[in-house]
Amino acid sequence: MNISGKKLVFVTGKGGVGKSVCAAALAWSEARKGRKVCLVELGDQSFYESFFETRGINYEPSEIVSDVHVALFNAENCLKEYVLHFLKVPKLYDLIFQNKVMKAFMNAAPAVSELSILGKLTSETRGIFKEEYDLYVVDCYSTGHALALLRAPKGMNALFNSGPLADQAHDINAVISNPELTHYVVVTLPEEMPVTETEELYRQLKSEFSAQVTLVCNKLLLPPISKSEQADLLNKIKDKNMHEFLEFVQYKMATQFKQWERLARMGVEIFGIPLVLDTLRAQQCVEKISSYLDKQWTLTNS
Amino acid sequence: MDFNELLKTKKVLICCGAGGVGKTTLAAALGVKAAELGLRVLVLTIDPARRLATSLGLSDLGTEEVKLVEGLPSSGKFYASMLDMKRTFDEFITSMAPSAEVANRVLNNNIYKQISTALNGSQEYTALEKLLQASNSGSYDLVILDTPPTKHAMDFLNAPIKIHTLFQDSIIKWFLMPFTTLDRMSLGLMNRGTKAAFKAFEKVGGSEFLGSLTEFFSSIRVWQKHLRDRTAEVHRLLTSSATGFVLVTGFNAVHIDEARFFEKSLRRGGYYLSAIIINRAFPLWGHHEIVQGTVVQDGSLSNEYKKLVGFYEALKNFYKNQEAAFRSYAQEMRQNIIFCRLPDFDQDVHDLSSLKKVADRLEEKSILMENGYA
Repeated sequence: MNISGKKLVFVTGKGGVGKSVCAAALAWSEARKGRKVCLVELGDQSFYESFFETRGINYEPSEIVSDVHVALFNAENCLKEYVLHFLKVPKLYDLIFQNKVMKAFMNAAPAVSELSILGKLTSETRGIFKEEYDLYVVDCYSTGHALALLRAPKGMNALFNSGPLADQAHDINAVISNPELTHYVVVTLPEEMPVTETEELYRQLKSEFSAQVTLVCNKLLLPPISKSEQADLLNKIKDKNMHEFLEFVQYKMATQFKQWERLARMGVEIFGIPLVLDTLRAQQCVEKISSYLDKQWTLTNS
Repeated sequence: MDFNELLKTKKVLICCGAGGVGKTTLAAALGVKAAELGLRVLVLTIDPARRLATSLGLSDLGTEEVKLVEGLPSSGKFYASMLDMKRTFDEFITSMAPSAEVANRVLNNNIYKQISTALNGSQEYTALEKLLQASNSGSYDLVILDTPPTKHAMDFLNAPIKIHTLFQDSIIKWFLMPFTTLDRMSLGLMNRGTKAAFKAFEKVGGSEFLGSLTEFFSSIRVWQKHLRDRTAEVHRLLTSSATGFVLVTGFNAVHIDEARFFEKSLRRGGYYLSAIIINRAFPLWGHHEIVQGTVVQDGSLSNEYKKLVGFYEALKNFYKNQEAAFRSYAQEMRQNIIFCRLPDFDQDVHDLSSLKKVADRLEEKSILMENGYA
């Protein structure tokens, strides 16, 4: 995947399609190209900690393998770093944000947590903090929540047009709407519902954020024999199980290719990733998938 | 305990789970099953896929009413309804307002318009508000709620608490302070710390932001008590023994960890977990063969055939490995929880006949974990 020069990549898609693993694979792939990459997960609970069987993934990035750092950003930490940068007085920060009332408010208030996270993710690009990483790869929320996150700066500007908060929102939106700086990866499965969601998400990202989008079609089932060989075998097999299995394979191939064609019609770059059947350790699995992101792999109808 | 017994004994079922695991489909399938048992059942969905919505008669957006789903040969009645968040929130404001004038003022307030749908947890809150209304109406024997997609299943239950704390007196008072005590004199009486906090807040957010927030809090003040009562009532409903939680989950080791965590959290919160459904746990073709099936080496034993057998074995192995993890998890489970797996149907389930197929599966003994399929 060619994202050289980009500073920020959001990896999103329907729930359960394999966003997190694809985001990790992309971070791997970019790190091997010599870039210093920070893989970011959002929220309070780390997925990568159990996935990579490691410990201590939190707000401060930690190096998992050389040049891939993993961090867990939650709104509270992002806001704290951000606000402290402007206030300069930690005591004042505590006064406002360690206050029980304010904490509860920040938890529920609209856009505050979204803006904090996006503010942090874009802070180096906007020159607020000094540049630590060449690239941030964000294992973002699934479709609906991802859009809510990305829309927060515009929503804030719809409410307020002046003041420091409004200015920040405006600058953040400028970064995430700039295809030179920000890239979007939508992960999908070769199935009807995820593809439909991908089509809709693509349209929205395009129109609302002038997004440059790459599609990743994950978990493709690749049989070792060709379509014509399958057809040939079907008449010869007597074993009931194998007959049923081959029918399933043929059915799967047909539906899979139909969905691939729908994706192809969207006219953007697509990377196909075969389903990993071997029992691999997390890191091997990520490396294997990253090899499919290095070199574009396309599904054919044979 | 099986699904028939569960559907007959519970008044409310709540389908939880991370996004993309098939909650909506399972909620609808449970609805079909309940109607077959002769119950009047309502399935409340949040954001059904378009084709499923069409099958349930919910395709015209904006329809709020409950639809009776036609075309099911069953003695009961299957109703479906799609949650309209904005509308539910508006209704809530209207019903609570002391006068129509006050209600209109809030509904037309620009901040309210943004906030009613963007507030963290407002979707979850409105879903529970609707659930409470439906359950109290007496029109249904059973109400099945398909919860909004959250990253973690527990987020759903935590959301109303967030809203509730936002409406707490202390927060509202905190924001109202400088405006209810507008003159310099009383501003001078303000606690020094609070004043400093306000100044700092203003510096970060801007005065317009602070002003608008205060305006918002002053308008919602009226609803505070009602909201508190409703939240308590919702909590009573959720922790009632007539309410059961159904966790729908996907198929990998991370999902098992999540299910474990969910089960523990529910227990701690005083809720009843009734069932764990692992969706798409095995392929239809391998149903009984995954564990013990062998392949007869028949035919020409051509090279292609050998390759196909190898592929079959690899896929079988893939499912078998996951199976082992679930087995050990099933053994941890308490006995009164239904622990079951459903096959990967390989087709999007969106029409009534495929929903019926899923519903029929729920009756099969072979999907239940304690019997296994070995």
